This record gives sequence, structure tokens and C-alpha cells, in this order.
Amino acid sequence: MIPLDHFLIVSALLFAIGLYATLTKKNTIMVLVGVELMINASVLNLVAFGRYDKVLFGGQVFALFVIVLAAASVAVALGIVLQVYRHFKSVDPTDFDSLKD
Amino acid sequence: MVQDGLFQLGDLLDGIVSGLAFLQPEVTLVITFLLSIFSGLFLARKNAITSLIAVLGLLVSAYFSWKQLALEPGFYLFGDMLYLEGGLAKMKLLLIFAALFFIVLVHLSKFFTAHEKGINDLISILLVLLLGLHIWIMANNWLLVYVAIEMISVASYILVGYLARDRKQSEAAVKYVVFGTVCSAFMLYGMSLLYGLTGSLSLQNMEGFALGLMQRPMLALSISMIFVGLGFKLSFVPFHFWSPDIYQGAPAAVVGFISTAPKLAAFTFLLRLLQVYIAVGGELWEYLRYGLIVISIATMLVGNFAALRQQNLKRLMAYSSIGHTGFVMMLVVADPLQGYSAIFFYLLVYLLTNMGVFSLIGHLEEDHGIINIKQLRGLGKVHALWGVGFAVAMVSLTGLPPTAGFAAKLFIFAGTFTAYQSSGDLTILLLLITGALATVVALFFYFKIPLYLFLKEGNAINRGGNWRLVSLFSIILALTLLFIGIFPSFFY
Repeated sequence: MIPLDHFLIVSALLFAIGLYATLTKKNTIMVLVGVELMINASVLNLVAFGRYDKVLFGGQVFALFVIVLAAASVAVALGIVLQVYRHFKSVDPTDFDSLKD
Repeated sequence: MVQDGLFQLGDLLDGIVSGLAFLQPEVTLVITFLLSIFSGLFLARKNAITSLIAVLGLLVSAYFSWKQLALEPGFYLFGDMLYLEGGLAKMKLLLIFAALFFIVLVHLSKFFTAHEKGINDLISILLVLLLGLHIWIMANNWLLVYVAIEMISVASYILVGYLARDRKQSEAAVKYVVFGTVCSAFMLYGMSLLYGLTGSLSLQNMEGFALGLMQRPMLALSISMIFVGLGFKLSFVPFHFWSPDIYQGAPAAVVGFISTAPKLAAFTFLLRLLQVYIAVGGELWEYLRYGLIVISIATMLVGNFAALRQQNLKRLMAYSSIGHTGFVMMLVVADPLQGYSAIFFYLLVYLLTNMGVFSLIGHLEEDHGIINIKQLRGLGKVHALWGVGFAVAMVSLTGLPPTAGFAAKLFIFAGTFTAYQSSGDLTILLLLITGALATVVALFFYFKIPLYLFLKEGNAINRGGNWRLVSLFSIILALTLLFIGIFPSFFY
């Protein structure tokens, strides 16, 4: 059996990679991919911990909900990215500068 | 294992059946949502039936929430998934009121009614958002908290990006989505760590803390990550920098709603969470308290000082709303156990004033193209009634008598001062001093608006759009604010 630590290390790495992607990528869609990595890091955590929760299986149920909700929010996010592309002809977050003081 | 499950099954079913009777407001919202989305599908786009269904459903839901007002003391539903008490039903009524207000604003807004998509889908999304808010304030389980927050977030992204008529609106929507999803990913990671530490998804899962079973750094990490998500919803420092951009770009009616209703729910949830952590006691509450005091002070200062140099009306309101968040947090931190009624009163006044002001700003923007404070020059003389309404709202936001804002601020200060007297804690005194300072600073930027409206000469503009309706509305707003200010005991 794989010990719990291994899962936690992988999920922490995934989270860090996702966060790096959201902060550095020059493409809004890649930023959303980074967010997806961060969410999946939490899903891995939940399932790994859920193994020790043998009565209610809270972690595994939570993981299922998270997967569905992440898909819903990504669908909305991609729709909005499409809208922004129509106006700016770009999906680079640094180009979005029409709102300022 | 299987045997245990079977024995539990009977209890679970009993719990569900007995709990359903208390979910009438939410079930009504679900049914209304289904009806409204089907009516939107099968009827013409410019049809008013969807709005009619939504208003009726909201009224029925309000009636059921009204009946829950008498539920004291509170109790748990569905095992310990939800928590319900009279005070929460009061908050539900306020949220339903905000949704009704929003429907009216959308119907008055030219941008929305003239849009080819129509507003029916928007109304359906609003009902989901409201359902999410209702679940959030009652949730007693991290899974439900996450589901509710995601419902609210996704629905708000759609509201902000619904029109996307120009660069600014679409940019606001994309910034909101990216920032919101990152914050909610942080919160989810925090929740997963907390689940690992405690072994349960219940909010009251901290029994292991007193026994020293939790690793302190890990617990600190998980709770601070959860507060990243809450910080996004409440827009406190340092998670506030999305709000000026989104407020500036999004349609005024939408800003009026998303700057108030989700914050109301977030504060209610924060209060309940802090009550749990006080019961745990020990250093957990101590550290959390100091952290929140620092956040509250920083939020008041940043919100009010940054508002001083704003020229855009909506950006000004964004920083003002950040300042108000810091102000409410003052009492949330100082006295989470007894502060609920004062906080509720403050949030009620904040909701009325903010939605009122945003509807006036929406009128200015859509009918006259006015977005900056300087463009208000001399307008008060042309639109006397309208200008007076705007000015009274600004006085109320500052917190001067005899308006509702004064009574609300007074209750917050009084509650915090009582907490200081009973504990003698100097950090609470520091909060009070910052609050007083912030109020003085607020005077300078809120009063810029009456100054430009009435005291500066300017070229008159045409009375465009539905100015009669707007004048009537602003007078009602002003009278309501004065009435609540003079007779606060009706709501307190």
C-alpha cells in the first residue's frame, strides 16, 4: 500500500505547478488549466484522506462534487474568455487594461 | 460494516423526512427556478412571464422564511448538514428582498431590456444565486459550503458577463472569473487539508484540537487558505483588488446586487464559523482573532484612503464598499457571540443604500453617459428630487445623523466598545480608533458628490430616459433611509 505522505507530496506539487501556471501564463486558457491543476490537487487530497474515513466516505463524495462543479465553472469561464476575445482579439491577461483609475 | 449501514439507514431517512419540512423556502426557489427556465425556453424572449414567475416564487419563499422567524433556539437538520434558527431566517428575508430589488433594477435598465438576449435567463440565474446564498448561510458542512460558494460564484460570473456589450464589461467578467476560480481553488485545498486533519467534513470538527491531535502549522495553513476564499467573497484586504475593476466594468444593476447579497451571506457564515472556533477556544481563536483584527484595520484604511483619489463613480463605490467590509468586520471580530443583531442592522442599511446608489448610478450611466464625479457638476439644480436622494444616500454611507447609516454605525461602535470594556483588550481599542478615523476620512470622498451636484455650476443636461421614475425612486430611498435613521428600533 502506498503511504499517505506520497499522495500529499504529489498533491502539493500539483498545487504548486498549478499556481505557477496561473501566475505566469500569458494565455487566459492556460491560466484556467492551472486552476484546474490546483483543483485536482485538492481532489487527490480528498480521496487520499477519504480512505481513512470509512463510515461516511466524506472525502470521496466531496471529490465527486468538486469534479462536477469544476467542469461547470470552467464551462462558464471559457464562454467568458470567448466574449473577451471578440472584443480584444487577444486572450493575453496583460492586454486587458481598459479598466483603471 | 454493512449491518451498521442498515441500522443507520432508518435514522438517516427519518432525519431527511423531518428536515424537509424546514426547507420550504429553498424548495420553493428550486421549483421557481425550474418554472422560470422552462418559461424562458418555450416563450418569446421579450416575455414578462419569467419575471412574473420569479417574483411570485420569491414572495412565496419569503412567506415560508417569514414563518421560520420564530424558530428559537436553532437546531440542526439532516444529521448536522444544515443549521437553522430565526436569525438566519431574517437574513434569508433580506436576501430575497435584494433579489426582488435586483429584478426591478434590471427591468428599469435600458442596457438589459434592449439587449437581444432578453433578461429571462438572467432572472433564472438570479434564482440559482439566491438558492446558493440560502444554502451558504445555513450550511454546517464543508461540502455544502463549497457547493454553495461555487453556485454563487458561477452565477455571479454569468451576471457580470451577461451583456458583454463593450471591452470594459467583458474585461470585468474575465478578471472576475480568473480571480474567483483561483481563490476558490485555494479554499478547496484548505478544506481538503482540514478534512485530513479532522477526519470529518462537519464545521464542528475541531474536537481533536484540544487534545493536541492536530499539527499546528498544518491547521494554520488550512484555515488561512479557507480565508482566502472568504476574503474573495467579502473583498477584504489583501484580496480586494478585484473589486474596483469589476465594479467599474459590470452593469450597475449587477454591481448593486453582487456587492451586497453575497457579502451579507459571507458575513453570516463567517459569524457562525467564528462562533464554532470560539467554542474550541485556546490559541486557535487567539491567533484567528489577531489575524482578523489586522485584516479589519487594513481593510478600513485601504478602502477609505484609496477612495479619496477616485474619479470614477463606480470605483469610488467599490472602495467605499471595501471600507464598509472592514467596518463590519470590526464587530464580527470583537464580539461574534452577541453582535449578530447589530451586524444584521448594519448589513440591512448597507444593502438598501448601496443598491439604491447603484440604481441611481445606473440611470446616470445609461441615460446620460455620466461616469465621473466631475460630470455631476450642477446636476442637482436640474434634477432637484433626484439630487436630494443621491445626497441623502451619501450622508447615510458616511454615517451622519439623522440617516440610517448613523444608527448602523452607532450600533457597531457601541457593540465593539462594550466588547472592549468587558475584555479590556487594547487591540479592540485600536479597532475602534481606526473605525473613527476611517469615518472621518469617508466624509471627504462621499461629500464630493453633493458638492459637485449642488455647489458647482455646470451646464444643464436634458432630462433623458425615465427621469420621473428615477426621481420618485430616489425620494423613496431618501425617505426610507431617514425613517430607519430616526426609528431604528423597527429593524434592530
